Amino acid sequence: MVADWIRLAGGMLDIRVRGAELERFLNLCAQERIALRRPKRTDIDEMQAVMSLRDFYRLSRVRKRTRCRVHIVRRRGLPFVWKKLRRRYALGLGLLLVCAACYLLSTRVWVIETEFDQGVDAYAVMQELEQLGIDIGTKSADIDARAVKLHMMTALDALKYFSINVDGNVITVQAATATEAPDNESKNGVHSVVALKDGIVEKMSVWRGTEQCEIGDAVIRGQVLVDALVEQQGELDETRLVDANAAVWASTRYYTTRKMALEAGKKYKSGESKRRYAVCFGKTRINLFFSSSLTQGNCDRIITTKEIRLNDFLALPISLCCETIQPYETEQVYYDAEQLRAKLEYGTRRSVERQINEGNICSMQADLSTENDAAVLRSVVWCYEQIGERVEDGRTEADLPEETEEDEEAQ
Amino acid sequence: MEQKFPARLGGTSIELDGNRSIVITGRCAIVLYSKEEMRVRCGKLLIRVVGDGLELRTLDEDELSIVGLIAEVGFLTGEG
Repeated sequence: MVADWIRLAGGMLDIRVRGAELERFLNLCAQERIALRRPKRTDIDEMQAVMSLRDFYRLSRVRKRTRCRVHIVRRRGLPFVWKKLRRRYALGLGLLLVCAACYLLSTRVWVIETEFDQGVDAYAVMQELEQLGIDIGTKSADIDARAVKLHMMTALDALKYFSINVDGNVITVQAATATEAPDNESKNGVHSVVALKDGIVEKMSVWRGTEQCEIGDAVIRGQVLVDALVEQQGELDETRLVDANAAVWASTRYYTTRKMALEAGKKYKSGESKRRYAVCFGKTRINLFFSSSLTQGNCDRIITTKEIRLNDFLALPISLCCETIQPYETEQVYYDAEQLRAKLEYGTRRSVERQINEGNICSMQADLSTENDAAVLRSVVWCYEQIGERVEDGRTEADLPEETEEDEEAQ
Repeated sequence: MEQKFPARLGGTSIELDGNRSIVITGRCAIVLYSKEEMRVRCGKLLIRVVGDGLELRTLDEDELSIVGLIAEVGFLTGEG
């Protein structure tokens, strides 16, 4: 296949040879190193073959010696195409312009992809980039990723990570803000572990401190579960304050009430959906419809944009926009409370899940009723979660009970 | 009476691939070329290939190959 392309680049000829001495013609061709491909005897005094254009020029001597007539049946390859097209100046100019346009377009940025973490002010980042001159249509080569990163990190304090990658004419901007620093768990601090919620202790893992409760105990919010004060345990030991640390797992209960109106507005299609197309060239949008872009009346407007990309890194500055306009009208619908049960239960679960830091929902008991044109779901949700929270203990070494002489004697 | 064979065929070697192709290596010249019969001269040796739909696949200074349905390969001159 590749060899055929190479041959075609040099030009190939299908020839028909006529004469009485075809064998001699073949022998002389072999002797002169003229390659005949796919020779085929078609008649007693005729044969066909394929040969390269270069060999054809060397054929004249052989032709004369053997008194054979050579006819060109077909011409193939680049030299013949070139000969055919060289006088077509407009076509050549067009090709040249296309090549120039491709080159120019490939040197500019046409797509900006963003990957921002939660908390990043995307608008501020994009504004800052715009001020630096990085926008749709900027020359890719002009973007100094290192300098941009440096500028962005100094300009926007909230950013703790920023990167900009230029791949072809697509740039990818990544940014992240710092998460809050973890609690200072230095050994110098004095902390106790207290209950974050009411519950019944089911499992305790104490690493430092003195346990103030046991498994099976009911604890209330704010109760000290593990105390920072550790009593003297031996002769060499002494009473001291430590940085208590523990994980206390307990079964907890949540009482929630959730309401939902029985009357609601429901959308229904009131007409045929309509599609409108537009072409976006960089930041310029050309509507392919005559009416206004603004829509009248109640309608859903679904916009899909399709970028034209040659590959992952080469995007054309053209994107196609398709707007689907779906008119609708609202209708008042009355639901039965039971119909809303699933939605209410789902909402309850989600709201409890949001309140749990570490743990899960074990079971739920719900009571559904109707009050003032609303479905009311009163639920009790049982959970298993970690309720221990380290809080700073106000005590210092000075607060420690002093050892009296009597104590020493007793020891 | 003891028959004497030539020691060599003048640097010519013949290779048959079943009855579908024959490759003759050495300085060769085509004497007869048709779809039914081909005669190739390699020095003093004249090789005759008979068959059906015979075609030349390659022909250059040092090699000649014929493809087709080969029925018979013979030597018309006894000496190489």
